[in-house]
Amino acid sequence: MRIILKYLLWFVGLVAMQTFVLDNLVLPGGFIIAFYTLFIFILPFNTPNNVLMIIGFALGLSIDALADTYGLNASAALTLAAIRPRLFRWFEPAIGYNEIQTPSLSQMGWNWCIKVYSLGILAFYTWYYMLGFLRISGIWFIGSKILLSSVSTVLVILLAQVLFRRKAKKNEL
Amino acid sequence: MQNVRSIFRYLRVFLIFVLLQGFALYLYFTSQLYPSIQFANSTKGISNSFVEVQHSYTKYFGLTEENRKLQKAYKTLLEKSPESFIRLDAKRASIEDTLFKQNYSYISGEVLRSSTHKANNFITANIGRKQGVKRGMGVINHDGLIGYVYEVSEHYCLVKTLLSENINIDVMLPNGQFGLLKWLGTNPNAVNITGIPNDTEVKIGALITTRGTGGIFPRGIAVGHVAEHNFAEGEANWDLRLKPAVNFGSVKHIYVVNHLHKAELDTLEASVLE
Repeated sequence: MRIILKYLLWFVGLVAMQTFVLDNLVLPGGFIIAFYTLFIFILPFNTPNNVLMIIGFALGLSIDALADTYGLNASAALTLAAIRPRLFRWFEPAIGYNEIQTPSLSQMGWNWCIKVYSLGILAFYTWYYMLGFLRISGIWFIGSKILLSSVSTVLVILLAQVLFRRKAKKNEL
Repeated sequence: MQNVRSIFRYLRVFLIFVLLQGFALYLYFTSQLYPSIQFANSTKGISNSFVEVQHSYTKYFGLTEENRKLQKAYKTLLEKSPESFIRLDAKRASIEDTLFKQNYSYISGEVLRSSTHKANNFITANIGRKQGVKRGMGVINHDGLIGYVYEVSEHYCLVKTLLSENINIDVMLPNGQFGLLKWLGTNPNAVNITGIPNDTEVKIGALITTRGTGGIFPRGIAVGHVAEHNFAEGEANWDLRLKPAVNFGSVKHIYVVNHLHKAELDTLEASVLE
């Protein structure tokens, strides 16, 4: 029960953060930081695939409703949620995943996180920009947007986790 | 048996993916068609209360600049009002001017949120059906053209800005030559105009204005200044690029254009065109 409440708070917090802060932040080059995708990564390892996809869809749809993107985020977040199990299987450590752990930076380490997050976010943005811009502009423009957005989003997600980890440790002491 | 079961499980996951993805794509692609049923956007229900809260904090940014612009607009209007003119003939009184009849009225509203960096950019404003806003009405501000009303609810409206695909607005050059405005979807500071033959002279910096067809915008509203002109490939037309007159990143107030004789115009045009 406490776990569900914790994730619910994360959900609301990330949606609020995305729509009130990050969506209003126009960076040079006009790319965006989809920080909310962090939620899909940090769900526990033993989340069933179906539940994962429904959560991803709901998350994307809440962003859509607030940012007037009409299903674009829902579609991309769902895709990310759908490939997450496959990604995790690819980078499974030799000892396997511990069911108690969560796929966060503090528990899985830098190496694993950078690989999994980068690939996941890259897939997310490829889907996102292909849908958003394909009919009106060229492949180079989309490519640069995908790359810039992916790199900055992965950096922000990792940074957020570093900050969060520090705080958690202080609380323990 | 084990195999069959795992195939079924895989199939179920796949089916849910296809269903949800289908729904998301349906929402996304139907939203591109103009007269469509919208499922969720910032003019509806819970999400507009979020938007209201956000606006209550952000509306104070840039207030000085906004005031300066409003004062300037008020000053120009004041200069045009009857009180600003000296009466030359004291015996004549103006009772009602029958030469001019009001053709456009304006509904003013505050911008709750806006975007500039998406494939389709919208502005949410705090005026809606109650204030007389209808779908398809033109939207301007004191700098120039913004777009048109895309969706209306009781108290809010969603404006599709120039920075959207399929925006297609009739515009004209200072010499009256007209073309069609489009956005390429890349740069919020560059809008394209097609359909202007390349034997007409176009100067860099020339002011492009609205043509005023269809009763959506009055004629002569500033759209932008020509920034670049190139020959369009394989056509006898200019490929014009212009910098919009409005800075979409900092729009605070808008005016929705209400054409008072739109219904009359529409029925007349429909009777001929069909």
